[in-house]
This record gives sequence, structure tokens and C-alpha cells, in this order.
Amino acid sequence: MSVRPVIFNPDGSIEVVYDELGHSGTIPAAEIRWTTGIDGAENHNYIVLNCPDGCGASSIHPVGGGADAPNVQQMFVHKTELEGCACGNVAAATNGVPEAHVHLNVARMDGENRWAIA
Amino acid sequence: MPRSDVVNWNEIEYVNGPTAYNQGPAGPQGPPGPTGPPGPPGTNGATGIQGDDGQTGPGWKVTQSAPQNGVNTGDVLGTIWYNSQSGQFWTLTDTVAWTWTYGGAVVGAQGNPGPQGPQGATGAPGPTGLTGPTGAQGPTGATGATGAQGVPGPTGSQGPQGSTGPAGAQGSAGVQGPVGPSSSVHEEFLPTAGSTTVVLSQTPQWILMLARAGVVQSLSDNNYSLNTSTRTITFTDALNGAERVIVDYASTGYTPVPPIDGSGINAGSITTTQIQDGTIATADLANAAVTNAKLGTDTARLNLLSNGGMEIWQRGNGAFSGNGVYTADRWATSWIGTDTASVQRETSVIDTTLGSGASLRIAFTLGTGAGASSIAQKVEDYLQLRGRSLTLSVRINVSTASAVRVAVEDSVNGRRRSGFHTGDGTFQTITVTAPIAATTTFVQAEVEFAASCTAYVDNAMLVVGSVPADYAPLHPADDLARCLRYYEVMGRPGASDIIVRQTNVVTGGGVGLDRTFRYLVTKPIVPTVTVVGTWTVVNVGQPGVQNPSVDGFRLFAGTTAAANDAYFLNSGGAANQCVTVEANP
Repeated sequence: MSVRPVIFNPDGSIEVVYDELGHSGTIPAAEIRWTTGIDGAENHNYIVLNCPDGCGASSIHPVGGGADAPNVQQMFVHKTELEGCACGNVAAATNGVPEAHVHLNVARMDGENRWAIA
Repeated sequence: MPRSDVVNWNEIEYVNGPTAYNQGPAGPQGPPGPTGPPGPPGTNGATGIQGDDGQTGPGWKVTQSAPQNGVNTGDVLGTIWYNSQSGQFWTLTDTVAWTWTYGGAVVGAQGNPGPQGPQGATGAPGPTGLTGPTGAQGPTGATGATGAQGVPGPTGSQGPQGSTGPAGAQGSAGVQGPVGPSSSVHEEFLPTAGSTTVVLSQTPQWILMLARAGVVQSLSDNNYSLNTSTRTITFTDALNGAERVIVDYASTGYTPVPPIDGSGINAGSITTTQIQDGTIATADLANAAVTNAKLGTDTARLNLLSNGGMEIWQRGNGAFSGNGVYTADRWATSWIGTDTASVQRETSVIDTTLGSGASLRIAFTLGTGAGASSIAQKVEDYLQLRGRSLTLSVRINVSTASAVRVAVEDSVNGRRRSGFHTGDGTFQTITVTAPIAATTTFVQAEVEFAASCTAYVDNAMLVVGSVPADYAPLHPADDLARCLRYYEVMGRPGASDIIVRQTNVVTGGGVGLDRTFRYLVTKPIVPTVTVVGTWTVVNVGQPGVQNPSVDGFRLFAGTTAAANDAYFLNSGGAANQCVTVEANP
């Protein structure tokens, strides 16, 4: 489907698979990056994952979930809990505020029924 | 004593000194005179070199709460405490008592209320209701069958008067026979003079009454004789030409014509044998009277599934073994427990009965999934299916009994399953009908696997109503358009059909090549966009996607050198360079 997360590790890294080419591997937390706009500002609506296999594939995941809503939304929650949000409005925490912030962004992008995290 | 204005003097003793005096030696140097007045200011010197940076002064401290007086925070005197949530700020004015002095707020007026939050999750089902009252007594059963015909009474003994013995007990009514002799015929004749016969039109069984010129005739008295085979009545005496013969008789060869206004037709007696084939026309049907339940399976209807024929495989022909991955377009795997499987496109074992170009072949190995593993397709627009009944039919070929079945699932009722394929190694139509809950949050069609097997899945139909529908193919353009709504490949892999190029480029400051691309079909949700492979680039970095939406995205690559020519191109050694777009609602 894409370079997509399948397992979330405690240190913030993620195990990913790239189904089309059968690639897989680990992406460190520091390399799970927000995209940057034309003005250089980070955008909390997208995260880019580069295939750890080195094939050159790069997937841009929207906060709504795109190809894999449950895992992609979870990735946004984990990153925000670990680092805070790129928008600067939410600090790193595990008190539910980061998840609520991601939930709101999902609803803004794809509608209220898109939230896929139980 | 010298004069006050004499500076240097020495007292000299005079003792008979000489009468003449010579100049004495010079006295000792006097003490320094007083400091003179300040001279005029000198000219300015040259500007000195810049001094070292001063020590860091107190700054802003951004938090999400207000400070607490008396708490040693270790901050420098003058530090400003800023609450980013309220916009208020305080200044540290005492580092002994740790006093923060409120300074005001830096934020503007409060904004408008935000949008309403998303609806909460559906609550848990309520408790089971009380047992209902006992139902009403059932209706009276149908009337029993008619009894057999009674036994004829015994023949009476022949008495001296030859009278018939008492009649036997009347039997119960027998089955209705053919039209009996009670069907009477009435005829009148006016024979010519001298004639002795009249010929009846029907074969007589009994002469009920025969009158000649108004006088009833008697067979016993030999007034006439009857030949039933020739239907001829022969009078003993010749007629005179003016005598009218009136005869009523019973006939077995004559079927009376009942009235056709319905009064002569027994209820329920008109069946298909009384109706000529092909004679029921549209005019004989009431308007709006043909319900879904009256439709045949071969009545083509709207398929709610995409790629039900398993004809489109945009991600390749497989084999696909991962869990939660898409195989044929819109059909995703869902392996439970330790179950495993391999899915691929099949063009040999296909449903030739309904027509097919490809089927989905699955080699399934049962682990601990207990029959819950499946190939499934979520229906996007579940909101419009709430409260309806849906029927799923899928053509399946498998040689293992009790291994494959189909199901319709919603979030409230769970899975409603069909019976299993019998495992006879032929394509069978497996169907299930399921009502969809009014509050469901998804609807899904599934093919389930409960035993290790190799199965072929083809020609799936999901329709509204309770009657299954045989698979009816879409036009290929429509079939593909449905699939493109969820998955799309932009640019043929490695085909050099995407290029973004510019001449006279400069570098630095975020300068790069930037181009907007629109999808062939608008997506249902914002998709995941993947730039596949390592592209050919000249004086730019590898391209990346920015700001994908439901309609398109921007492809951007920063320049790496000022040059006359710069571009990126989907070509390269791996020959897989393209962009894939995937949205799975």
C-alpha cells in the first residue's frame, strides 16, 4: 500500500513495511518527520516515511490515515506524545491532549467518522 | 622679618661684619609652587574596539500555567513567565521571596468557539429485555381431506314382491368426478308425416322425459325404443307430421358450458395449466406490484461492490501474503491468529458460467483463526445502507468441504454468514442476506475461510434486497473508474512520462522545481501518496510530495546548483519510478 507503520516501539521508532516491493525495516523516531511547506514551516497534517530498504520510496501520510487509517493515525499520536505537535500548540505528554489534538486534525481533514483508533 | 612677598630669605647674624659686603651664595631651591589651574580639553581619541558580550539577562519563560509566588524556580531576577495557554505574563521581582508580579496579557481577544467536536462512540448495548408474553393461540387447522367413498349397501334379498332391500348406509362424499349424467339436454323435433325416428344430437344415457304431441311416452309400454349408440329414438307408431316431439335426456358426452363471469369457477381452480404460456402481459400486472422478492437472480441489478469480478489488479498479480494488504483492487486480506495465506490473480480457473477474465486464487492454511480469516471489501457509503437488507452472492470454487463461506458484517450485528461450499470442486453461488443496523458505522462483504484449502473467488455481487443477483459486469471504463477512486498509479513505472524541468535555475533559499498534479479520479479521503524509486535528477534533489489533498498534490525538488538546466524524471535503473496514490476509507 505504501511505506506504512505496523509496529510502534517504546523508544518512538516504528517498524514499517512497503507491501508493493516487500521491503521492511525500522525507522528511528528522529527520522519520522513532519513535512515542510514551501515556506519551510513544518505541517502537522502530514508525516513522511522513507523506505528503510533504501529503494528511494517515500510515502507522505495524511493525519486522516490515507491508505491505513488505524496505524497512520496511531503514528501521529505517538509522535505528538513524544515530541509535541509541529504547530506548537500541544506539548509532549501522555495525558491524552496529544491524542485529542490528532483526533481533531483527523476530523478536520476527513470528517468525524474517519477516526479509527478504538 | 622679610616682606611678605619675599619667597626666599635667611636670617643672618650680624657681628661686626665687614663694612663691605659681597654677593652671598645662592640659596637652596625653594619648595614646589602650588598646582596650576586645569588646562583646556584635549581632542577626542580614536574609537576603541568592541567590548565582550555582556552576561545573558533575564528572558521569557514559556509555560502552560501561571507561576506560584514563594517557589524557588532558580530563574534570574527579571525573568518573564509567559503562559502560552492564557497569554498572561509575570515578571520575577524578588529572588528572595520569589515574587512574580503580574504584567498583563499579550494575546488578543478570545477567538470564536471552535467547531463542534466529533460525535462520541456508540454506547454499549442495553440489557436484554424481559421475556415477552405467551403468543396468541394459533388458528384452526385446515379442513381434513375428504373421506373415502362409502361402501355400497348390501343387496336386498329377493322377496316375493321383488322389492329392493333397504338402502345401505350412505357413504361420505367421494372425490368429484367428471361431469355426470345429471347434465341434461333438452331437444325438440317436428318429424315429417310417416316418420318414426328422431336422432338426438348427443349420446343419451337416460331419457328423462319424452313427449309426443304433449303426451308423455313410455319405454316400458313400448311407446318407443332407444338406440344409444346411434342416438336414435324409434316410435312404435309413425308420426303424423303435426306431432311435436320433446325430449329431455341425460348425456355423458355433453359438457355444459358454465358461465364465464367467475360465478361458475371454483375458487383456486385456475392454475398454470389453464393459462396459455406467454399470455400474461404487462397490462395484467398491477402498477408498482413487482417487489424485490419477485425478481429472479438473473435480473441485473446495481452492484454495491467495486471490482466484484476480480478483474482489476492495479497493485500487481501477487502473490500477496501480508495481513491487512490489498490484493485485487478493493479486496483486502484479514488473517486472524496464526492463519496464513497467499493470494494471486488466476486466469485458468474462472467462472465461465457467468463469464470472467480472472478470479482471485487463495491458498489458505488454517492456524488458530477458527474460521474468522477473510478476504473482505468495505463498502464506502455505509450511511445510505443503514436500515436496508443486503444480499451478497459470490461464485466460489473449492474442493474442500466446509472450508469457504461468505458473510455480510456491520458494526452492530457482526457477521451474518452463509452455509459452506460443499467442496465439489465446481463454482457454486454462495449467498447470504443480512439486514443492516440503523446505527452501523461500517458495512463489509467477506469471503471467510474455515479450513486449509485452495479456493477460487469470482463474480461477487452485493445488492439491496433479499434476492441474490447473478453477477452483471460493468463496462470496463466504469469498473476501472471505481477502482481509481481508491488506488491510482501516476506515470508508468520507469517510463519517463513524468518530468519537471526548468532552465536558468538558481540555488539556495528553498528554491526548487515545483509542479501540481491532479488525480484521474477524486479520492474519498486525503490519500497516502508515495514517490516510488530513485528518480533521474539533474541539478535537483530527489522529488518529494507536498500537501496531498483529495484532488491532487505538489511534487517538489530543491535545486542543488545554479545551472542552465535542471529536472527530475521518472526513469532509472530500477525502472519502477512513479507515484502511487492510495485512499482506503
